[in-house]
Amino acid sequence: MAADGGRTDGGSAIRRDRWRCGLRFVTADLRASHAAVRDLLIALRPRLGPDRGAVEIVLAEALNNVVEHAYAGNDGRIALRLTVAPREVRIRIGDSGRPMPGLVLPRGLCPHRLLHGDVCDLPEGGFGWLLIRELASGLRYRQQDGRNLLRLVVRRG
Amino acid sequence: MRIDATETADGLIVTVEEARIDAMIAIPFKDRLRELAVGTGAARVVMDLSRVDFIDSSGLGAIVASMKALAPRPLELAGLTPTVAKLFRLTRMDSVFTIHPHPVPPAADGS
Repeated sequence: MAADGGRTDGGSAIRRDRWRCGLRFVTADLRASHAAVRDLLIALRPRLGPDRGAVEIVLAEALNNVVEHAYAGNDGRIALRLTVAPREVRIRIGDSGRPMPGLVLPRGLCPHRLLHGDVCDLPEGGFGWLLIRELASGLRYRQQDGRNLLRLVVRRG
Repeated sequence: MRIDATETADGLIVTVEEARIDAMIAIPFKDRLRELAVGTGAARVVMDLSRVDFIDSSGLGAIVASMKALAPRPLELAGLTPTVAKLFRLTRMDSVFTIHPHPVPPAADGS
């Protein structure tokens, strides 16, 4: 990804309702990587339509997780495939970064714990996997040949 | 980073002029809110989010951090757009913040 914030490659229509998109990071600049994720999400908006909220949240969290934790400041590439159906969007995200610790997906914050205790004890991070788990179903993760592959399904709306 | 702050009789009104509060701007956002927290004597701070159409978990973390920086003064939120309201509901942060459904109206003259 270039210093000007990166670019997305692809987006070529395979079928009317399925797209592959790629994000290439040719710099380890975290800010530029975040900018590339933002640009991709904005570019996808017309394709996802007006009820894109849940999909956009899940994509943002899953892609930023790859940038921040799997690649953790290293160069890399993310392969994204979206299959858009009338009621749901199926997402497949592949990367060659670090595997998930223990090869399992994080649980995310426990929502009930959030509501007890003092304001000062509220977490400032860790909402990402809570959001993914609230919005997505059919989460499947595997590590194969040095690649992480995450699949999930998000109901539109 | 475009954040406007206006002192009114009702407190400090902070209007976020960015369309997104995401991982890209979470840190400068938090820093700006900390500056405002230090610089104001207002008893109450209301953040108008009516121009923000997307917040991710990093942006939410920055808003929570801002609330802590302002404590014990409350940070109230106003004018949440649909996807932002969904984010607050799913993370249960809608029961931590006081949320006003409508954007903050422009300050009346003479207030």
